[in-house]
Amino acid sequence: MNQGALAVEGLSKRFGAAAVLDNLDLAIGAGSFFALLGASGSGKTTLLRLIAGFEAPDEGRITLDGADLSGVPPYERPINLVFQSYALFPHMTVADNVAFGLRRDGLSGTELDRRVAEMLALLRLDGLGERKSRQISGGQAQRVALARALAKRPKLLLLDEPLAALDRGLREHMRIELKRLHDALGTTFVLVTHDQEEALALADRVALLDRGRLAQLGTPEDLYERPASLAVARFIGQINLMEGRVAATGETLTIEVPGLGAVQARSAPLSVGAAVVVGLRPEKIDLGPGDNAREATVTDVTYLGDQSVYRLALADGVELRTARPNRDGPVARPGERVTVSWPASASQVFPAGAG
Amino acid sequence: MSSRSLRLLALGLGFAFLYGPILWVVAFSFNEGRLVTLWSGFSTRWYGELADNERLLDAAGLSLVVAMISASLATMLGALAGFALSRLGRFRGRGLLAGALGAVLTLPEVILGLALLLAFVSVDSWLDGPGRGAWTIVVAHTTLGMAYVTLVVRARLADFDRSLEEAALDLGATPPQVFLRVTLPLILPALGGGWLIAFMLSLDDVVLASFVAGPGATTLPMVVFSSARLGLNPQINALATIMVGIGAFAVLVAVWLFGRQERRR
Amino acid sequence: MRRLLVGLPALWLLVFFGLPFALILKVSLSQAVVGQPPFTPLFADGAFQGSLGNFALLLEDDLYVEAILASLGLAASSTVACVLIGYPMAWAIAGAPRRWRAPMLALVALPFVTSFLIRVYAWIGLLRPTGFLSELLQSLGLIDSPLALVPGSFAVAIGMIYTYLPFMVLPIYASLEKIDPMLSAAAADLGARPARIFWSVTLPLSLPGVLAGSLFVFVPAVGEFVVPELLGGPGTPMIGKVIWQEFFNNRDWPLASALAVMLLVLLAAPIALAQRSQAPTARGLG
Repeated sequence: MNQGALAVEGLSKRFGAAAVLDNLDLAIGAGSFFALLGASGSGKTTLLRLIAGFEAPDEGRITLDGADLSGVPPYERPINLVFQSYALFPHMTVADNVAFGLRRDGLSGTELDRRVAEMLALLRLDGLGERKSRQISGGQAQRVALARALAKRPKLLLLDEPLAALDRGLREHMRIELKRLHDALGTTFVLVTHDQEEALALADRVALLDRGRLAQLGTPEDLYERPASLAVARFIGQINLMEGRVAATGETLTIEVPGLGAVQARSAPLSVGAAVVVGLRPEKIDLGPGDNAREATVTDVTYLGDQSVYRLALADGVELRTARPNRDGPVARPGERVTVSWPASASQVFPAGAG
Repeated sequence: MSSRSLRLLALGLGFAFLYGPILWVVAFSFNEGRLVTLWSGFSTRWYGELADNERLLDAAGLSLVVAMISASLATMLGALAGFALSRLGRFRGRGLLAGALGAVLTLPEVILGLALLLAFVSVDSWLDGPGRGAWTIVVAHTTLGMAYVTLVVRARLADFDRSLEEAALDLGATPPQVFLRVTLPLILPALGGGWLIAFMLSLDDVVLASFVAGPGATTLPMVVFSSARLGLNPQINALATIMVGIGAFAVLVAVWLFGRQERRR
Repeated sequence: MRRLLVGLPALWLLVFFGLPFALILKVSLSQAVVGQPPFTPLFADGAFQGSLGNFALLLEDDLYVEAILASLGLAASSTVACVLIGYPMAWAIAGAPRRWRAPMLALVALPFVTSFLIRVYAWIGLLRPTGFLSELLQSLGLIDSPLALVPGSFAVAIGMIYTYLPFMVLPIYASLEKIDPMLSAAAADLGARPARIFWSVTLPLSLPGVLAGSLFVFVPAVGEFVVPELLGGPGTPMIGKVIWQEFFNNRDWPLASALAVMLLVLLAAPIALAQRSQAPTARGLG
């Protein structure tokens, strides 16, 4: 089943004067679990509606397995959508909801019943078929929406913030369920979300959208460990930022940070004298001796149960945050003097002023 | 006095005011004597006389026919207007359409009746026909009813979840199928409620009908009105009791429909 | 599809609403004659024959001016009375347990659908000299001679209040129901007693409902015909009644039209205001 490759070429969409999508190019591999990640206003919802066919682009086109989707109405696209609100038909039973799309394909009788039963079983909804769709729980409604969208065996499944309405425990459960479904069906899944944790946990590839443009496309690890820009680094996860200037290049970059002196950082194509921002993920800072060792004072400790977050004051007003797992409780107290260090490979360097 | 007893007092007095007079009418419909102010024993004789009152029965029959036709026309036109106003976005004449419907809703009936009559008379003199009759009442009631139906349909469409229609499209339903299988079933209670309102309005109207009715076309309210102008009449009490019963039944149906719709959300 | 959606209702309203109003204006400028139709044409012998004579007549004759003033006065006092009765009812319903609210609202709306004519008729029996109220007060010894409220302005006001009370209760309820109950809780938490909460939080937030309800009562009450006809006497010449009499009894269609135009002008502002707050009635009626 090597179908469901989606390509977005030069796509633009404006609402009034505002460009919501700006000349976007994107390729989604067949059978992948793809996430479109972005804050509100990034254009991800518009992209979803363009792919589903509810809106028409101003420029550019979308193809599925090479076939141009321009002008193809939503009811003729082999693409189905799981709505954020689920949008279950309130006047129908669960089974009728699942059967709705199949009936539009002309299925009836035992074949229809078989396909519906198959979907209900796949989503573990057996026995709920005769319930009215308003008489089921939120988690069940989510699975009915999935069953309904998957029943038509689409080449591509769009999921609009599928976990947003669920509470924490159910969300965890549903993540596993979605992975299981993706593995079992091999359908291309495209997840649209503002929740980076969701995107990182589920997708094999993530496209980060920022104001209608593609900020970065890569694996979850790429986005976290090797952000393409300062903006991406800021959007994904927590990060400490220090401003400085490139003092020397080589195997590692030597960066002069006011108050800290020379700091070794991961190599990047930058020339001596360039103004830069050094990014450092909190969990990559060690409390103890090592490379880039500096003296610091603990100013604040936030206990979070599984871990604690330490706020550290270094020389000249430089402040860093680090997180440590609470294996034997917090490892430092406010006011304590500690040594912090980090390997050069743990830091990321971005040109200053770009994003 | 506690808030709870204040509330009970307000409701008690309010409902006594609303229902006292109706109960009085109902009670005296079963009075033996002709005097509607003096109780002289239980009797159903006025219902019997009502059943023999040809003029009244004919008028009731006409009223029912007029109400059914005008309510159906009003529902159709009002549904179209409701869809146009809540779904088409901006279009030329939108303000005018909404304004006209709103004006129908709020204008004194005397003005609407007078205006419609002038139109019918003018059309008559221009075309040399077709004369006034029951159909002019139907037209007047349709115009009034459609304004109410539009209001109800717009209210329903305003909180209609558009993603339901998109879901249907996404699942392969063509736009006509979306309308028939998703939109229509979901607004059906509103259409039913709108029809009922238009029906009751028509059945209740005396002013518009008096203005526009042609000779011979006499509706039930017109008969009741001319009789009430002359004073009290136990037959009217009996008729009122029957109408109160029908009205109460209609409201129960409407509440049931509306309740079903509420629970669906 | 679009054309059908807009076109059909628009066409209907053009023919049966727009045209009639143009005609009212036209006829108000002509003179009454004996004939069919009973008014002079606006253009005859190639010249415009219309005049504002009817309007001049209306303003000169005290009868019409008084009728208009009486209508406005009665409508205003009925509106105030409706607020005084309707607000506590709406407040009581909004504060009732949730499962009781829908049935109680239905009870408010129920008289709506039991014939309006019958409800007015009921008051003839209750308020006339040999009626229920008069007999009751006499047997209690509160009055010596029969109380003749019908026909009279007081009876007309009662009839109006009675007829239009639901129009007041429903919008007020709608606006009360929208108020977040946490606001009252917050006010209480900050030290406000129930009366203070009502005056400072509940009442101000429900004023849009009061305004909407007042318009829905006032506008139709000004032009009301049936209530003053059945409950009022010659002493209560409400404008709706005067239009009717000019039209049916005196067959002076131009004068009736001119009166209608004047009433329209008077009501234009409140009608425009009422248009903006239609949503609550939709809820109440649906």
